[in-house]
Amino acid sequence: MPVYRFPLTHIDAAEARRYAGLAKAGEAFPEEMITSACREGLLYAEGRAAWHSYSYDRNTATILANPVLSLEGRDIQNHLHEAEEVVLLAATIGPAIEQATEKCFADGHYTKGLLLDAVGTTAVEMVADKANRMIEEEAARRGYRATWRYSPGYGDWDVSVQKALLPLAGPSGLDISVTEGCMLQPQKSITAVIGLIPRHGNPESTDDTEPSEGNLKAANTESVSTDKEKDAHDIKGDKLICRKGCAACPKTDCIARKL
Amino acid sequence: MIKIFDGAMGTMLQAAGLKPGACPEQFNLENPAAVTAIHRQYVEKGADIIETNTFGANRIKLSHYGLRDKVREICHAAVGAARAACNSDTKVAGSVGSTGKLIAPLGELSFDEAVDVFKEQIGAMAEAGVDYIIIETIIDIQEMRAALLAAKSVTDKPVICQLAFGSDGRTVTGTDPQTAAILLEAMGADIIGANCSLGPAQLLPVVQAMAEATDRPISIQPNAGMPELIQGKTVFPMQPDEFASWAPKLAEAGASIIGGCCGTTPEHIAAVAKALQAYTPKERPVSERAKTTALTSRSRTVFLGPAYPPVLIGERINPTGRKVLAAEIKSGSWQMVKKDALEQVQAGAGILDVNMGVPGIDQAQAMAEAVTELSMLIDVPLAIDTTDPAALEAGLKAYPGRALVNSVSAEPDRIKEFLPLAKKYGAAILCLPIGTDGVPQTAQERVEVARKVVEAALEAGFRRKDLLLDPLVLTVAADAEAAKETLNTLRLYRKEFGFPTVMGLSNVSFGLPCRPLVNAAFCTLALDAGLDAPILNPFDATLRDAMNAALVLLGHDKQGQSFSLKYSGASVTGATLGTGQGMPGAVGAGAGTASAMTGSTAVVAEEGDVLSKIRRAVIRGEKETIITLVKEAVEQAIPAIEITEQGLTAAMTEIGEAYGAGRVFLPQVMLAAETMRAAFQTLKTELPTQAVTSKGRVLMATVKGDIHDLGKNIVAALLENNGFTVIDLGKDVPAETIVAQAEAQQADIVGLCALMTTTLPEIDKTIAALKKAGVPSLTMAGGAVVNNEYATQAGADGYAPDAVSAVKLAQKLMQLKG
Repeated sequence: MPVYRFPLTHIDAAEARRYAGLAKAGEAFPEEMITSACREGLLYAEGRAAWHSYSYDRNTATILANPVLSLEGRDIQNHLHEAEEVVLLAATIGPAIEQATEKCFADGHYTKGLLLDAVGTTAVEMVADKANRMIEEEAARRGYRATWRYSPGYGDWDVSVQKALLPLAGPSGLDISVTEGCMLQPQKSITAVIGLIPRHGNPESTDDTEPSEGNLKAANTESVSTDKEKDAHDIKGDKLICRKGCAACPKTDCIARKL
Repeated sequence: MIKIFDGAMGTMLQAAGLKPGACPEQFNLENPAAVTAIHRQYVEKGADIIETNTFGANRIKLSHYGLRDKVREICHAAVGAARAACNSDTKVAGSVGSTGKLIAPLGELSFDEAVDVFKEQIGAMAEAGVDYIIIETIIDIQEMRAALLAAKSVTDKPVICQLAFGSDGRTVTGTDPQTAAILLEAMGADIIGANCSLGPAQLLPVVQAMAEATDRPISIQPNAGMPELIQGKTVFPMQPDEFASWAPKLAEAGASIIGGCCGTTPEHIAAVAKALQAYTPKERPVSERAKTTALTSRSRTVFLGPAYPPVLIGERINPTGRKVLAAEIKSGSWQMVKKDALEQVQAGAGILDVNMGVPGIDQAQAMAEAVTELSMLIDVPLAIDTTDPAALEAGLKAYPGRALVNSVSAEPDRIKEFLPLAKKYGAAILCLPIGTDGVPQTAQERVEVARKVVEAALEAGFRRKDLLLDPLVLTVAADAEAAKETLNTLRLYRKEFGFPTVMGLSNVSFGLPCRPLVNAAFCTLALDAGLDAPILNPFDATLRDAMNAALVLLGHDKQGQSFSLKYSGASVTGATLGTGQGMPGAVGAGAGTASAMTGSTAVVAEEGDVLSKIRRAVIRGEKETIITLVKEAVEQAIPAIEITEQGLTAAMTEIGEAYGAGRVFLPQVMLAAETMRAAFQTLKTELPTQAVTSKGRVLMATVKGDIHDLGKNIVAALLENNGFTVIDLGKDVPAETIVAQAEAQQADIVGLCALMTTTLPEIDKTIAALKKAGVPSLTMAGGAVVNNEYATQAGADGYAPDAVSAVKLAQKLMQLKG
């Protein structure tokens, strides 16, 4: 389980804007403050990730690791219902950005603190994206396609799984730990599971490789309300399923959004 | 004529009896006849070049099978097996694949170890008599560099370098085909190309991009489409005829060696050979771009020369005359170097000069570390600026791109030591016209000294596009002709050599007042005389403005389009435009000063009384303006309480309402809060005797087990700047501490925050503890997972869904307290 470090030569200002809650603010909020925070965030972020793949028994929803990990929660089980293997991923940008954020608040630079926090979230997602791409490329070479990455806390997958998940995903060299309250430290860290599904013919035929917002928290489904937004989704049972993927989805504040 | 490569080996080995999980390369030892038979099939179907079964025959990969010590034996057997299958004109390429590990800093394998691992494998194959070395399916340019360096150090055989690109046209570590082709050609790759990962349709644009960037032959070995898993077996769907139909298109795009990778079979290769039978290859013209000097980072190419706009080289990463930077470098900290790098790029630098000349340090180690850090942070190419050969090699080795060596003089030692290093690592060199006789005074003398460096470089195998020229810049205050000689040198360089030119500007103005102005004027003259890349301080606004204007005048900025975008609305009455106004590249332009509500930059000539202006400034988040306005209000003898209530608090109420209505967003509220803070601080300074009465004491804490306190910090900031006294206990605070502090601090309100479901019960526990201890404070709760029902059942006196609501709730609770 080697630790990979990823170059971060920019941090996506549009994503940082979104994570800062400014998606709809437009020009009313100065772009320079966001790009400046992104630039400063690059000084603090050290993107690292590790992952490990395991066989997956979809009948019992069990990751065949040592020790085995049974997945509790209907949503995560649905997410992996076609998977033969899973990749457990852990990624972090280290603690420096949260320290800088705290200092900003202590010094009265509230806005910058808020923006740096959003930049940190953007950065760790970008690191996870880079790792995700390596995982997808490797899987594709073996005839698999990858599901989108699914993290503890999504849907009904309880965050208490972090304690069991992290050691299977990341080695100690990654310097991520889990608190008693099941939070990751450094805060700008993520764990996730990616399912690997055998490719059979047209890979576009299955919707479950895209974010299923209905699997996410209720708050996310409540805001999918306009006709335009509904167009981007199918309703399966009590779930909203993305048909077109993130690029076509108008729900810009979805926590699983990849773009 | 198009040469035909063979196809896949792995699937053929499995069909020949290789067991799943077994080492494919061991088959060369165990069953060489079967390996030869596979090769023979490809030869019979038309392959001109066959690849040895050695893709994973490096000691790192072989160690997985306990065969670490068998590299040489396996390679010899593999070459023998291939050779046995050849016709008289068939060539054998020794296959070299990845070690499976990424090189530091991306991974944990050191560059030197990677080179050593590849040397062992390639040396063994060269010894066994291959005709080519093919380094293939490499996903990281740094690993390719290591393998290519290894190959060049152990054999003179032609080396084919093939990277694996993803569907976005880049390797997974970010290198595009153009950048890869330029870098690998510079390092001596004989043939450049791509294989694996994608099918022929997706690799077509890769071939086109490479053909445009290099004059080297291009080889391409696509997969037979994207694989599928059928009954547990990896199956590639593209049939031979469909696969072969792409071969003429790939040849037309510039490929001169075409074969197959995963999923291809002898039938695919037969179909390719057939499809190309009728194809008459055209001579591939060398593009202008392929003749042009270029530098690269891992992921970006910068071209230099008369056909391209001048490129600004940032000079700030240089400890000379910068004591703080020197001290940081000496201490091993890279924060300031990284900050300088980011800000220079933001200010418009297209290349960064890196100098680690701190006395008393290990410059080689410092250069390696600086280059490594910068290669992870910025994507513009670097110039390695040193006089120390060890530092030069350390920097070039660490850099996953094509750097510029700054510089190589005509001094014999410098030529002897620097040229081989630059050549080895594929760097471009800046030729400096300084010889053993010192600095030549006239332009003609400089040309002659520069010619010595150029001739030595060409003799050492450099190409013309590897060479750049420095005209030398001397001080005009000491020699009135100094600037003119530099300009004359630039003109002569263009006439005599035609290479791109690079020079540091600032020497020219040494000893004069208003140096930026002199430098700026000199820069524009130099650009007209043929300067392609000035080395300067990108933060020097006068210089930058002059350069931007020169770009219009010299026709690089067509019809002044970029200039118009940058300078529309800029003032022309000041001594300089360099205030950053209107310039996207300006460092810090607009930061923290722009309006939260409108985006405008300042309140100028606002209507209304001063309290109205104060209110508007808070709403707009104008921190600088508010200080002036509060002072103005104080001068008008307005009491502090009136300024607070009618100006500041009224503004926060208004922005709170706008937030509630969804017209403004949280960061804008925080900007207003910061402005409030600046106003309160000004009031405190201006009217120390008129203390503003606290609206109440609020003790804030994120509960035990919860380490995320951004939400609590936001609430605390807003409360504080709405007149409350906040005692912030931080995060992960146990109930007993909160109880003790609430009593000790005589808190009116205790605000509790929890982010996670796992820590939510701590809110119940803390409220219960406060009640049990008889603490008279009222309680309010909030956080991502808290809702009104939960807060109520936990016994809280109120619930706040967001920070603005928390302020209102605190005000309400204080009214309840009476």
